[in-house]
Amino acid sequence: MRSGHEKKRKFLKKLSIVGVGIGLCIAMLFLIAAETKGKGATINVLSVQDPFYFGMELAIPSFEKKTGIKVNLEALNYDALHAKIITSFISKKAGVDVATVDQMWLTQYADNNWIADLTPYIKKDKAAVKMNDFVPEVVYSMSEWRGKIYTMPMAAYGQFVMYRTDLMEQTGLKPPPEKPEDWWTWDVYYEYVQKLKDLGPDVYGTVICGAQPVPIVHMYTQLATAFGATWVKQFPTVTPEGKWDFTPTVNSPENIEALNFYKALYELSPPECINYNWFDAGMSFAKQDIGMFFWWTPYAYLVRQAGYMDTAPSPVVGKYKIAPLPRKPGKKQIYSLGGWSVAIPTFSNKKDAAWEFVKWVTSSEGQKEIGLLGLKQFADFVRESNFRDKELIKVYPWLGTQLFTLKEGNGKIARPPFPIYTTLEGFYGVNLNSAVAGIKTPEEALKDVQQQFELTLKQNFFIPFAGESYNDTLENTKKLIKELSP
Amino acid sequence: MPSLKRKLLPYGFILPSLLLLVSLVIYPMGFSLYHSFQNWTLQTSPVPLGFVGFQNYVNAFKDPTFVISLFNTLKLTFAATSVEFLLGLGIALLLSVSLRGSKLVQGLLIMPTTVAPIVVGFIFRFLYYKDGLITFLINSVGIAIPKEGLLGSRSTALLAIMFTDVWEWTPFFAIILLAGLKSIPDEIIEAARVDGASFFRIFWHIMLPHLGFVSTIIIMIRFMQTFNLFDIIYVETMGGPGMSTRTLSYNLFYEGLVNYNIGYSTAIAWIMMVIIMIFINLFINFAFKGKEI
Repeated sequence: MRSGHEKKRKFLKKLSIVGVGIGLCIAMLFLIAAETKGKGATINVLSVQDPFYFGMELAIPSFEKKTGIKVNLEALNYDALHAKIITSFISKKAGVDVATVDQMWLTQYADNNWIADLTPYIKKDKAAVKMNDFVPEVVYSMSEWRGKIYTMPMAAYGQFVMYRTDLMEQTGLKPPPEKPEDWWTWDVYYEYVQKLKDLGPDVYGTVICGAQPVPIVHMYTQLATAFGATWVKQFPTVTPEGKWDFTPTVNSPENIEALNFYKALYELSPPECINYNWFDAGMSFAKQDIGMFFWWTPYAYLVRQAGYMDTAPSPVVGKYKIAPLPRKPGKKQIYSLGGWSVAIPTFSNKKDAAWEFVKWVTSSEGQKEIGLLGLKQFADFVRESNFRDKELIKVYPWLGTQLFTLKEGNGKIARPPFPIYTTLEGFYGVNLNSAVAGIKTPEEALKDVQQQFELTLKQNFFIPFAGESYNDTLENTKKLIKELSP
Repeated sequence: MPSLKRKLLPYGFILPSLLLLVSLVIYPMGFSLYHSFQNWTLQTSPVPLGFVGFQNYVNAFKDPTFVISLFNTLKLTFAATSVEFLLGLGIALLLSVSLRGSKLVQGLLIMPTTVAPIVVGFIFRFLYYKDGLITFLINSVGIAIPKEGLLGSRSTALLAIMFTDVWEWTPFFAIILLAGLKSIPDEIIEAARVDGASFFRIFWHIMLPHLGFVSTIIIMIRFMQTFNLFDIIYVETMGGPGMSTRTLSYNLFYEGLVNYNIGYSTAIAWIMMVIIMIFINLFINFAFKGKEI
């Protein structure tokens, strides 16, 4: 029995060694097959699942055919994408070759040397890139940092007003203008929203985005910026001493006025919108009787469908129009500008192939292709040539107004992308939601935000600012674009 | 030599498991404990900025967000676990009676537990909408719903989260407690009935004591799971309105994976672990007092 056991044990030992060896060989074969698949390199592209993703996915086969570069495209939601990208950066692994980058992440990624400086790539490829075709305000807000281009803009979002033409007709009011006019102010906007609300018990004057911590900040900061509110004393431009000044200014009289106005808009909105995220707020215009609201420009095409990426048309098709944002008399009109750009991680070992993808997906031809494919749910162009393209205007007739919002846009004022932005945005959003929900008064909420901002900025060496400041102006970006243009 | 080989062979067989344990449990725990004493925010620096001692732990207890999250977590955990246990026990008692169809019901009952919590969260988010089924049912029995909706009102949002959790995990209690009830020898219950004991007395003096050990284990498991509840909150309310549904897990996620404040978030993780250990130890001492486990 004993020798039988020993024989069995020896046999099992040999079998397990052989098994491990076979397993390793099979694994290696798979790895080799994966690496040699396709003609050229294979790049890994990580994207957020915003509307542009779906058109991009359909257009990728044409890029692969043209270049012979295979693309492994993966889409994730916002938080998962951010977590995955940062994990790859910290591990310094070459797992991701191209990543979509939110405007707010640019400074953090650039200052930590996590994404490659694309300026040398553009210099070598001026004729193909055509920097002078990009909307300069888009490049400034989304891609430029400290005098360098770290990302290429891919999907630029402005904000404008959308209103129901049929409901507006019932009020008898003069419709909002197609271009900015002096009479079109925020006070007039509020009067219009009130009149729309009076049309009936099932009609809401407007809808706001109320969910905390992030969605509410996106809509609110457009309003606050229009009212002249700012986050800090001096950023991204510098003081006469050449320094940024991150002393918070969120409890200014302008911001208190803006928050009271936003709260007043909530009273004319569906009450449950206190919990609405971006899509809930935007798609409610497509589903309910909402008279008028202002929101990110992608909603101009998204509300044509009954649901997000749905094929069935919504009941508001043919019944809505676009208008520019109202203005606050005496204040400089600044449009919020956000969106997504593409970057090449520093640790990618396929930068040349990645650059080919970046060039294609941000090119005039590539963007037009994405805009005309599938459900036609991409009008977030970044080049002026696309905004003037007759074929695209036929599909997206509001492109003129959208281009205007981008050219008046400044993403670095409305939502300043300093590295600690995400933490500050969290405090801001929770308190804005509390103010709108009636848990705190606007004054109390903004006082708390001010205190939390001060504490966080001090803890992270922003007050006083210990790093190197840079006079980040649109004019400097325009000069840089000129240098990089053919 | 052969005897040395024989001595080392068992270690060779457990080596893969040991490596997994070290790499997936011990190393991450050590890493997180080490960094909980560091000042490190990935938003501003790719590397830690220096040792700060217990400052992250002190900051947690000074942070109103953390304190509110702690109270919300304790409220949710105690309430949800108690309701799940009581409802689960009731369902188990009903199912312990052999009726036609009870086997089918048992099979259907386990279904909520098999659905991923994040999917459950999405389903209930839609059910709680203004025109959702739950809102309709509540309105139809004459109960007023806040105008902001069940998820938009401070007074109902945490209850709504709790209800979602109760819907998903009550069947887990029911199935386990049913198994416990079925393990009670029929003769004991028969004997008690013959002696004239009422159902309540049988339940109180025979069934409950018999279920003691099983109940303690599943209450402990669910306590730990509910304490760490995250996915339903993320999908339904993201901690709002205000901070009325912000729990420690959501706070941990927010600090770690949104703010990338590695030092602070690891400190929160260790505080959570200590709190759970305290409660579990108290519970075990109370539940198994005088007994050998």
